[in-house]
Amino acid sequence: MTMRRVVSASLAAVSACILTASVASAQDAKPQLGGELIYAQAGEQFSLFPGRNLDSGAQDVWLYACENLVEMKEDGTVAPWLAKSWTVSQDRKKYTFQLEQGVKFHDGSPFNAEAVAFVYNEAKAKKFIYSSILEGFEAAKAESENEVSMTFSSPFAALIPNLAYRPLCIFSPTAYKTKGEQWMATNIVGTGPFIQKEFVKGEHIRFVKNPDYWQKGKPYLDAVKIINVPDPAIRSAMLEKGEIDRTVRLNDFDLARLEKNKDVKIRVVPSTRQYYIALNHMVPAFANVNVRKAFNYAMDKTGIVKSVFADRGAVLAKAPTLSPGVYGYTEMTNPGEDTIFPFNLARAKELMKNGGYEDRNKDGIVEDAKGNKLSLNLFTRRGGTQGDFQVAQLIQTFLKDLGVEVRIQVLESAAFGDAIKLGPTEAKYDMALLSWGIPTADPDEPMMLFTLTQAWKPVGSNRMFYSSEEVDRLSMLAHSEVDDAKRKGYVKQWMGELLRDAPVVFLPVLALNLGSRTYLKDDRILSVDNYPAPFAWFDKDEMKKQNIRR
Amino acid sequence: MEFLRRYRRDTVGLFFGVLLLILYAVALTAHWITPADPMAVNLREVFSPPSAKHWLGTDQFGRDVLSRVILATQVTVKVTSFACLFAVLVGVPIGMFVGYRGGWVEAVAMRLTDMLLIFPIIMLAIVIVVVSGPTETGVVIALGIAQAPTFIRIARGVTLAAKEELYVEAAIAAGSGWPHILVRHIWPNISTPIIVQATLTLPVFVLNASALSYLGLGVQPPTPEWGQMLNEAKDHLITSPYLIVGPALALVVFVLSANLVGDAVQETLNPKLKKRK
Repeated sequence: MTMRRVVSASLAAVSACILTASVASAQDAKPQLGGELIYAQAGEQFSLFPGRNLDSGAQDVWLYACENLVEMKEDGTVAPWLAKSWTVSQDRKKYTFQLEQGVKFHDGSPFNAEAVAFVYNEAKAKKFIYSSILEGFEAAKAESENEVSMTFSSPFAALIPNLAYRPLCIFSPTAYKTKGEQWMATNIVGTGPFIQKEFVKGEHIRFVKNPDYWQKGKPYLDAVKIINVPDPAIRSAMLEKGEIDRTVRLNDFDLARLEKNKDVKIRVVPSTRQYYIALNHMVPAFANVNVRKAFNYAMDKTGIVKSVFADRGAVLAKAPTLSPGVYGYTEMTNPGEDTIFPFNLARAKELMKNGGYEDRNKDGIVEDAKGNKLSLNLFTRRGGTQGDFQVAQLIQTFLKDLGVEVRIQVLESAAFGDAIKLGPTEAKYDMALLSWGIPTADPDEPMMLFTLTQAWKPVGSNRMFYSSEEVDRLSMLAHSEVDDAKRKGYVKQWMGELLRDAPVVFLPVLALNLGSRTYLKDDRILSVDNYPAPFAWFDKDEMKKQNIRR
Repeated sequence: MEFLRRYRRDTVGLFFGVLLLILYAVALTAHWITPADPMAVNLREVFSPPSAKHWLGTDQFGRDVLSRVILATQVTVKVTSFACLFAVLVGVPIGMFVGYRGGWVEAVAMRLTDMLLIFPIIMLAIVIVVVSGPTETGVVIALGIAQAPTFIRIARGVTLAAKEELYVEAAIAAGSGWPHILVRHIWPNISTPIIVQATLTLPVFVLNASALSYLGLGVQPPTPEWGQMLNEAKDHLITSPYLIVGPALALVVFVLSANLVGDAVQETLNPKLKKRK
């Protein structure tokens, strides 16, 4: 080690101590201007048009250029953004928004009430991919230059959090009308702090600072470059070498090692995405609640979290479908238990017996009363969601212990997507390994799309073909209830019903991770799988100390 | 006997021949010699490094890696042997028939074979596996069909030479039909180059089988296969590097032995080659 290195190393150590000692003052530190942020994403973006793509990776790209009326914070609350304030009519069917003034789209056209009304009316007319979360939306109208109203056929309690969902951002109607939807798939034009400059499919996308941004003095960075690096091992190597400033979806088994690197900051937060096995209730075994519950008890969730996710990439579920951070979430575990349906093979076997399944001929596989053995298929992807194929293999093992034969069918993404969108008579899966994310952090989405009888595929997302009058009633009540306490009460009752019926096998909740260089300040990670950094900035001295020169 | 006597003189061939025989013996007795159940998941013992209890450590699901390597040897031997047999049984009769028959049948068959040879073997195999499904049978068929053109060409070549021989003319004069001639007179005289080719292609089968399963198109989990084990180990290379040792070593030893044994067999059966050396 040369003298210079020793000095810089001790300097770094000292400054690290100072940093930790004065966290409060560090956060108040004055943002420095300049620099180009390089951010590595895991996959390429198939469309940048918010109306046709719900992929969280794409949202993470266009959020630099396209803004919503309201903005979600780390704690799950929603703050005003392009909309300064809003009022709600007495019957809760009409929302009126007061917009920020003097805001311009990147193409020079003005952002006003007419633009907002156009975007949402177009979303309804052209059936944008997100239209289901604006359930009951009738029309948007420009009341004046800076006042826009949205009307609904029934009271809509979850509108404000839903408006924070990134695909509902306000893109430029002028660009959309003149260039068309096809062009918008590779070009995002909004009001955001950065303007898109370059797009090389499968390679990178580059944004430069918007000099006319409506929030004076922002953004701090000169440019943002987002590159595609599919292999997590390469992403972590690039982060450690300082070739990139931040990256996501690091290998869970790599995190412990990365955390030892003092130039790198690792953040892990539980997401709103819960793994589950959709059980096809059209299959006789799954019409039986005892069997569904037995399957739930047969899963060693702690084992899954440990072996597939290194105790980092997932956490045990403490409530069905909902996860912490979602409105109305309450822990539904029994006292002394760390998850819903804790692993209990003996109990699972007993439930199978009660459900009429027993190993009658002692071949290790259970049979029903007529002697037919219980052999089921499990549809899954490989790498569609982190750890899916490994989880599927474990499910196969757990169910084998229960005396159920499972055939895993791995489908590539497109084929899998086709296989799980069929209606009750066509669906070929007995079980499908899926995950349910709640990007709006409001239970309205799962209640209206996931468990409702009217939401049976091919219409909604009820792939179990599950039907319960009580669940339907509670969902409808919660959808239009405006009283906070009452609505939360319905949500809790709804979760109680899910535990009673066990329509799916509930598995752990995924956790998200973000790795950044320590000189990068004010970049964020949200539990809804967003990693915004439009207002991040570089600590130049720190950067120099780490020998990063770009 | 004569063959064995001459083969024994080749020390390298002998050493790797014994090694290959051991691998086959391991494959045949896999079910009895695995120290633990290769499928038994134990989530309390995941990623344990090599120890007296688990010589090669345990994998992500707490399964004994050594037992899995042993079972994978059986799977590989089974798949590649059947694939090789498949390629020979499909390729050789076609090659012999078109070579003997000649004319437009030969022209068409050989151009089709050339077309198949244009594709890289692994790509052809991938297409076939996607169609037939990733099962053991699927992989056998895929690898077999992908290699069949080589056997068609060789069988045709040697048949072309053999059919000009006097004993074939004599057989025709005696009134024998073509099936009889092919089986009784031509096959015994062309079998040597085909046996050599089969031994030489064996390592290619092994590598391709592993490549397919590395890509997730081979034998499906929980049944282990070397390529698939390597793919799983790759994700944990930094944290648990010992996972890669077993399957990698097994693959290297198998391919190397098969290659060198193939060479030795060729030299033994073809004395001319030896003299040239």
